Amino acid sequence: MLAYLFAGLATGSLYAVAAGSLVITYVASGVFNLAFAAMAYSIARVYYELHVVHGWSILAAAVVSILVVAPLLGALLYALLFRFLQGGSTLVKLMATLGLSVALPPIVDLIFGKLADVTAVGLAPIPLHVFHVFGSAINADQMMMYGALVLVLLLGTVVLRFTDIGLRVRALVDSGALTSLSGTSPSQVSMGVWAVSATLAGLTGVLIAPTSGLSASGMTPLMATAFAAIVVARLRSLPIAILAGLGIGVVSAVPQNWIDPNGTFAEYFIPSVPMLFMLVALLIFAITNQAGDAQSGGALDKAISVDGGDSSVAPSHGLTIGKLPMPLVLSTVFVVVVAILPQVFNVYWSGLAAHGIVLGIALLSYTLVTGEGGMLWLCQISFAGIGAIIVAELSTNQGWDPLVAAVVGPIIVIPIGILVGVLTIRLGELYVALVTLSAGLLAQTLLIGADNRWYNWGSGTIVSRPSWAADNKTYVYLALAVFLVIALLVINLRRSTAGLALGAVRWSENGAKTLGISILQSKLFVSALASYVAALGGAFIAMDWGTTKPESWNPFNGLVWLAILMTLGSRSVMAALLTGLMYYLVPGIFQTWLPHSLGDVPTVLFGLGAVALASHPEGAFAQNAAQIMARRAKRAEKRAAPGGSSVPAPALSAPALTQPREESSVGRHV
Amino acid sequence: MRHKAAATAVASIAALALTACGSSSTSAGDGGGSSNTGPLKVGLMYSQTGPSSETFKETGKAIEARWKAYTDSNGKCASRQVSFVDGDDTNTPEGALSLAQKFVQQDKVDVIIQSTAEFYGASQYMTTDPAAKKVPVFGGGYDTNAAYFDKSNLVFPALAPTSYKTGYTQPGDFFKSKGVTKVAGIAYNVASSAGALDQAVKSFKNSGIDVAYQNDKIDYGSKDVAAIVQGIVKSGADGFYTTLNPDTALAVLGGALQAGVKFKAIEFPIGYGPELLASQPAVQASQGVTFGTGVAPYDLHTPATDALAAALKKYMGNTSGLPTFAQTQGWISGDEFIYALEKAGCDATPTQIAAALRKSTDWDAGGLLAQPRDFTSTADPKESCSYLVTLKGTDFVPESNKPFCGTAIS
Repeated sequence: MLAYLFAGLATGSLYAVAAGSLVITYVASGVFNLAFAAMAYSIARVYYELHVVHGWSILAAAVVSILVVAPLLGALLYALLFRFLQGGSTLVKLMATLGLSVALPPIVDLIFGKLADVTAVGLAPIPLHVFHVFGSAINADQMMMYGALVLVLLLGTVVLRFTDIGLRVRALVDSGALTSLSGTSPSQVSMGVWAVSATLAGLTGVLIAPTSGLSASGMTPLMATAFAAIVVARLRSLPIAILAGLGIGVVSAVPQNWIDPNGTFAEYFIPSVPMLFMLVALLIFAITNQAGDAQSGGALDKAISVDGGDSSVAPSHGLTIGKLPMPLVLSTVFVVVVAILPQVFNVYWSGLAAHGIVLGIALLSYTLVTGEGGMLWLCQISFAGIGAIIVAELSTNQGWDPLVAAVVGPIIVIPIGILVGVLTIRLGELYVALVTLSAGLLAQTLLIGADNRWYNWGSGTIVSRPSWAADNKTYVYLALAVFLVIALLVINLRRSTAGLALGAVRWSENGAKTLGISILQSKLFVSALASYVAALGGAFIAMDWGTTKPESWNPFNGLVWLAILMTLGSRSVMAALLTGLMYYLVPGIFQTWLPHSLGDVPTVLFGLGAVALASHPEGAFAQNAAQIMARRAKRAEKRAAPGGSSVPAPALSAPALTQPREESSVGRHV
Repeated sequence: MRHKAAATAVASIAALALTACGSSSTSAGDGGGSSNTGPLKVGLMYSQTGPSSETFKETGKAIEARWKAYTDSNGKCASRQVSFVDGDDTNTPEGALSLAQKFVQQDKVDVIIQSTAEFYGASQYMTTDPAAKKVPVFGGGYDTNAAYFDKSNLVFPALAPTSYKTGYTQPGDFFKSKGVTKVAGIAYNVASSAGALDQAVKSFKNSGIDVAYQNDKIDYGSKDVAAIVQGIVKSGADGFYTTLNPDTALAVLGGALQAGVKFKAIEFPIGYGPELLASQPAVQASQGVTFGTGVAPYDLHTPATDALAAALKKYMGNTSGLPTFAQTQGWISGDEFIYALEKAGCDATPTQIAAALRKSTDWDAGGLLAQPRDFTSTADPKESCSYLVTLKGTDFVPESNKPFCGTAIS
């Protein structure tokens, strides 16, 4: 058993280093960095280039990559991105860092080229020296990993807690404004924090590359496992994060001393260990009432912030074209344009339009759960995947009419959605995000992408469209009709009593409570509805593609969906439609008219779009509306001014943008 | 910049409306010219972007090089006009499906030559859509999907498909010849990886080798190798067989070797090629590993491999002569198409080309394949052959100048 214990510690140390570094970054910056794996890969790639390709010594390559390039990368990213995230919502912080994680690896690959073989070396010389401890072999790379753990622990505890620098960093997280008043430059401290964070990411990347392989896609799942340790640590406790990381490794490994590694129990138990850690921790947090998000920024920060209220609310109040609300007019025009597409597109482009519209249906679930419900669920794509399986089972295997199966079948997921809602309702936003992401990953591993009756060698189960909508043109109209029905439902929900209650809860849970609004009821209602819509979207996606596509429902793909949606606007139903269309039409343009060497560009653009959320968290739709308002205000003031003299226009932080807004105006978020 | 997102989207859609209207037909039946006896339009499906695209990116050039070599040598059907449409499946099954739809619906190709690990994403579409199922698909075959086992469709993988239900004596015979008595086998919990390991396990047992450790429940993408290593150590295995990806397989192998395990034979079914030699860490970690390949290795220097090396040098600028995976598979896939065209007659329609290939039993890509390809049957063959090469230093040393063949285990 001792041998398995050490084996578990070896694997656990990978999770622990990643978890520890992420916790330090979070504690020091207030940002949970989803781009950590991408940054780790980038620096590890630099190390590989210097050491393996150019033959530098290990020491020289490590010093330059980890201690020079990594801090510079951190400082650069701070200047370009992270500085805009201070004071931003959890959702915006997550999506912006997600955008970075999408965009950074292709950029690094453009610089250094892609690797055909991702086998990598660590910091120890080859051949690796092997130490024998209690009959177990520990190689020099693993010893380096343990050393890194100690380093991370020291950095996180001693420096952050007991030094002047640490005090300034913590003060900055607590209140940037007050820190500034005390003579400390918040920007300098923040830049330093991100430089150190990038250094930790680089160190982690170089250390785990021999195990994960030198690829972002190899490092990302490993980091995702570390999320469980971070949740256990309540996002803040470095020693607990490290212990939990080690614990996950040990609990995964030690039982293998007794169980059959080829048995069903092992197949289900081992991938579930991180989720089990998470659930036990959440149970404890729920009992002890400790699962809220830590608040960053003090009262002074909030008071002087130019932003205010709900950043996702579009400031389109009063914008009209003729007598009609401008969003309503523009949305109608947009829908008409989409409806015309099949008339001018050929069958291929109509097919792409159909792909986009059915994706738009699934994206409306984010509009509901995140935009309206204010809950940061990252497992909506898993509900969509389950919807695809349901329609396949009911229509292909059980003989139901496909459309009936697609509409009725997804009802099955509603209890699952309510269960997820119940389990996460008391958690802070970041907990919800991490828990739902992990749950989605587990669902993908054990159900949606597993080798079961619907898998069929990865090709999936055939799903037919309704016979009367077999061609792309008719299917576009069917999908558009379904989209519009759901979209109207979302809009009506927003205007209904339930929707107003949700808005109140999203604005202030405590305030809503004082009004007698049941937070539980409101959130469970939107949870159930959003889960159904996601599964409905998945069913229509499966009918569109003609298969369940078992490997296409990875929650990391769902993050990309959400990032693009956020770029346009998480509360706009039209943003959901546009996001879906862009997701397929833009790559179609590249596939058809541009060189294939530019094929990664759409991915980079989608990533950079999400990065831009840092400076425009309201999304492109609301941003454009704000600009139109500002221009109109300026023109009106010009007209009103005597003699036509120019009067400075009010800043964008006028009351219309900074005060809480009532949400009953027609078509605001259309 | 201010209106960029919205403006770009609207502009894109407007541009599409203007430029994507080559046909307003909406029938799903707008496929390629299945009765075309004139110039053939051939869609090339492979990965040019995505995580593993570096392995596949030269595939298209290799397919075109095969055709160029054929026309330069005045092959029997060299006068048939052939044009190629390059496509990128983005290294994802969804990308493969999207590309197949583009080929069929927009490009209206007559034939598709695929050499991708993602074809399974498009297989349902290519065998069920009314237009797509008239378009023959040649090449590839290193993924697995149901289409490969159905003789009624027009999908012809260049490499013989296996259902993984039949074991063959070959791996067991090889391990036994090396003195292996206990073997450890590792695979992912996906059908093809686990199936390949199951095949090997049948072979080991048939050869009297004890399967001391078998684990085909590894989650794809998992890096939890330490406990697996411990399982191997505990089992006392002296042979190692794995269908894991090479980087993960090497991590397991390295751990086992560091723990003091002495293997008499180590076999990876994939990984042979200059891509491995280009990675110094992989070369160091792969010493003594035996790789299987269904294609004659360059290091044998047979007439077929020398001819391939010369052609790649002439048409693709490959100076080392050692063909990459993409070059080899692209060449073979192109050769399959040429062979089918010759069999059917030089003015044959795509449907006739497919029908002719379906009756064929003797294509071996000019001697490159370890055994002739029998297109008349999709059942597991009675015999399975592959070449084995072992990495020693920076050379792949063939275990034999002939392929290792094994008979089906009843």
